Amino acid sequence: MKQMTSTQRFEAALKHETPDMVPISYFAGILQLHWVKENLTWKDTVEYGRNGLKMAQVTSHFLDEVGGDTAYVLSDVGEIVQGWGVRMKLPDAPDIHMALGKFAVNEPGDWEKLDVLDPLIDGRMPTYLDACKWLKEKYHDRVPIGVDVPSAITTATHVAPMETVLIHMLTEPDALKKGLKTIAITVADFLNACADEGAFYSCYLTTRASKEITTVDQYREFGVPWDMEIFKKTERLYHICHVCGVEPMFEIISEYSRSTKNTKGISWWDKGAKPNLQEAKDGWGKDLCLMAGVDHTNTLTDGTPESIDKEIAEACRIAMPNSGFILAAGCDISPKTPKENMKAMIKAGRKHGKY
Amino acid sequence: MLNDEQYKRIYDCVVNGKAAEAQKIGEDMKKAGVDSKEIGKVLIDAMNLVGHRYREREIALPQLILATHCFKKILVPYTADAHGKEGIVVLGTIKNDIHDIGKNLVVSMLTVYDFTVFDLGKDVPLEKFVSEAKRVNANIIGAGTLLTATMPELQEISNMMKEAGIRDKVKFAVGGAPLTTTYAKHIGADGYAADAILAVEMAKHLIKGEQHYLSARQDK
Repeated sequence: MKQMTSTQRFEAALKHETPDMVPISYFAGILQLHWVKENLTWKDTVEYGRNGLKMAQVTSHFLDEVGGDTAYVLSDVGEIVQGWGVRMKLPDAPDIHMALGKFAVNEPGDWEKLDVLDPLIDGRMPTYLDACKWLKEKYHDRVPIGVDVPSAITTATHVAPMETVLIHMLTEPDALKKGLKTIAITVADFLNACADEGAFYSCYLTTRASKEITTVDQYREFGVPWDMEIFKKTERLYHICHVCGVEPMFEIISEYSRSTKNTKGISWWDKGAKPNLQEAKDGWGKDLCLMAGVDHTNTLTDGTPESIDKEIAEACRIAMPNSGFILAAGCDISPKTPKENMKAMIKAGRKHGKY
Repeated sequence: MLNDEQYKRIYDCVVNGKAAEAQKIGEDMKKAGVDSKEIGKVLIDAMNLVGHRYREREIALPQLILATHCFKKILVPYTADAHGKEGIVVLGTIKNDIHDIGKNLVVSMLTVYDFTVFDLGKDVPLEKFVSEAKRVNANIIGAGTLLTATMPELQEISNMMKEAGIRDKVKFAVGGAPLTTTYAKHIGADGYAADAILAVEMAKHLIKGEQHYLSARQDK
């Protein structure tokens, strides 16, 4: 088969067409910073979040050295919500992302006070857009630019403490929905602005679509309507839904795949969550492109190149048939992951991922 | 001694998430001379049911949190003057993780069961667990995370305890939704509890001098 570009390979996997080889992706935020600079300080972490060029350079340096098929700009989840006045807390150490500090919503009445934000002006969204633009100028159409954007309900848990949002689901549903409406418009506008600057896909963070967090009915009430609205407004981008939890709602994400033009994949921790990769392939492999295959909590951090090779060989055996597979870790890769293990992941993916 | 009506009032408040009534119930019980341990037993009964429903996925985190919220509010009149004779626990959610619902539940339960708890909060730098344990002469360091991405950091606390020379004196316990007994063993933790109720049991065993106590739910 003729060799594909990374973008062609990635798109083929999402569309369940046969690529030349399995595309490889990863979430590697702070790890990327460590890769670029020895003796990282917390100032470097802050600068990464405030400077689009730096963000892009770190992403591209990592991609060029490690390999893989996506230029994925990892955020610290603050770039949108700072526009609503959420304050970030500076990291205490270099290997910590900036964390959320003061929240914008504390009382039920605060939800309706949120205004729709302008991605070209508000928060740190312009910084993030700069990173997309710079990466697009470097890679053109060869490498897909990925963006990391939280869903409306996930964003709500960055605007207010998660505990508050979950309690408001039960006690103040109408107030919360007013906030979700504003948030959904903002998220869609931001995603379209990312597409304007060259983004090809989003890792759409449906992190609350996991059954240990909400029931399926609760997610249908507080997640699905706004997810659907966002997907329909952002059809220029592919979306891969990322679920951090241990019981991701494959039934809902597969509905997204069937009922929208552009939501084609799911990313989850297949080594620790239900379902595992085999169960997901058997149950949802026809609807969803599965982005998984290597364990970031154990194999990548503590394993050897040999154990990584073995795990990836098995993942490819399970998930390659009929396409619809992107090799990836289940979530953000720890900064403690040895360099040789990251390189071993790419090497094994190329070795075992040939169609 | 609790009567049936008092029992039902507390139980119903937690199970059905009646947050507006919770603190008043606690105040009424204290005025009536009900002992905190008796309240604790009812709360555990109620949380056992809520926990069972949660594990069976009949309910999810919103209901669990609301129950926890009621649980804590009922205890407010009691925890203010808790003595903490059972032992000293330093507890927190580790750095880069802001999820603290489960941790807060553990803090409340340990407080009811007469432990002195130093709650470090969330997003806690790893070295702070060790420095605080040294400062307060803790019996147990408890660290938790909800995120798979931050799970590997837990082991670092154990390493830091060794470096600080307190690993033999202070027990190290872990918790959090993605953790398992296997993972706890893998990182060398002395204790693991799958939920807040089991965390009390675990803490008691570790304080008594058991080397390890890894307490999974039967269905996990």
